[in-house]
Amino acid sequence: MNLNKNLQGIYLQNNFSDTADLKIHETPVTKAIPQRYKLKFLLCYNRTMEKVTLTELYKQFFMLGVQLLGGGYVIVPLMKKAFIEDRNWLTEDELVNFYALGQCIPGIIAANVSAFTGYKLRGKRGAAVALAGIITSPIICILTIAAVLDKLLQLSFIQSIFWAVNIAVVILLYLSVKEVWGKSMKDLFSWVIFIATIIASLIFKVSPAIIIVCSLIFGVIYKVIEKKKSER
Amino acid sequence: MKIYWFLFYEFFKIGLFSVGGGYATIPFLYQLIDEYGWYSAKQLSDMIAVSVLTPGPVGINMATFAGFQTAGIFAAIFATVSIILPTYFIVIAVSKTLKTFQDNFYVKASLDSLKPAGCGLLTVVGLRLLKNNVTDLWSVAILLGLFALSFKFKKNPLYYFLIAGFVGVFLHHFSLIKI
Repeated sequence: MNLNKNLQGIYLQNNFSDTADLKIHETPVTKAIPQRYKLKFLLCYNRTMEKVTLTELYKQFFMLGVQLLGGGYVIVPLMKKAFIEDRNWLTEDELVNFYALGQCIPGIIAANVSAFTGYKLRGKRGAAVALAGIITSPIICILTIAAVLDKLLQLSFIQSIFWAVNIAVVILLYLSVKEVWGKSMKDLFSWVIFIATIIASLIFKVSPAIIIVCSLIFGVIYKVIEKKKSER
Repeated sequence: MKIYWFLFYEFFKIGLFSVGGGYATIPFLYQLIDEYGWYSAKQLSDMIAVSVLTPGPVGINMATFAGFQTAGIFAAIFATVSIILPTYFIVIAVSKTLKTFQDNFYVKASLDSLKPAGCGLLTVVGLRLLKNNVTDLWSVAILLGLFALSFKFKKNPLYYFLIAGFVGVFLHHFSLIKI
């Protein structure tokens, strides 16, 4: 542990130029390593030894929730700054991987990525704490606004803002469809699902959950049949 | 007490079935209007606007807001926890198979079919809100203006909201719209 403390000091000073001056508490392990590799090894060592406390984890994810404004992809640059550049909690590969995975599984992407990160750092508890951290600021902000919104909406100029912003909501939906459109509509099969969804939802008002489950079953069966055909 | 059970059931379902991020929860929230009438389509639209403009993941903001509209502060917290609960379990399950998960044939196949369905659901909500929110000449003008902007500027919807808000105040100031 002594070694660890020593290195944290070095790490904070960021003074890597003169390795000869370093006073490292020698252990049998460090003695076996050549001087020129020592610093590198010890920094790695420090990196893996550093155990993130749950309080710190909560604090970081709370801050992430406060800074997050706009769509889910905003979380990537924020996490890169907070967890890769400022702290050695993640590597770039891990972040990219978590983001890709977060899009693959159901749920809100920002929450998914946070849970993956929390799980990586502190296991099940870490995932729970990360999620708790990221929902704190929405709960506070939204509850504050929701409590006064009805009062605010009695003012006519606030009404006019909301009148106009509600038109922008339509554009928002258009933009979010447009964003995934290229990745989603690849072939005839995806067009069939798209049109079937629109008919089911718009005309027959089938619930989205049923539509999702049906398209999942239909899609997987279709892909399995297609795969077997191509294997023949 | 019964309402909490419904809240848990509905929001857990949203967390479990909405694939593709925060906006994917909108069709589910819209469905709740028809089913329970906890809030109106106008309120949902306001909720989306506030959620985008406040810090925090949009999906979580919306869950909190929808919960609040239903039965107040505790319902808001309850709904938020319900919507992220599936995430917790799924992430723990997936983390154990991390490396192979994305390349799995079934995962790929289900995503290929879920993405178009998600597009379709969002389009339908878009059409419904279009019908509700765009009712007069000025709103058509704003819609077309923002639409034109979307070719030049992309991504962050925040700017569209700010622009629209300013236009709204401007029109109100010169008494061009009646509200």
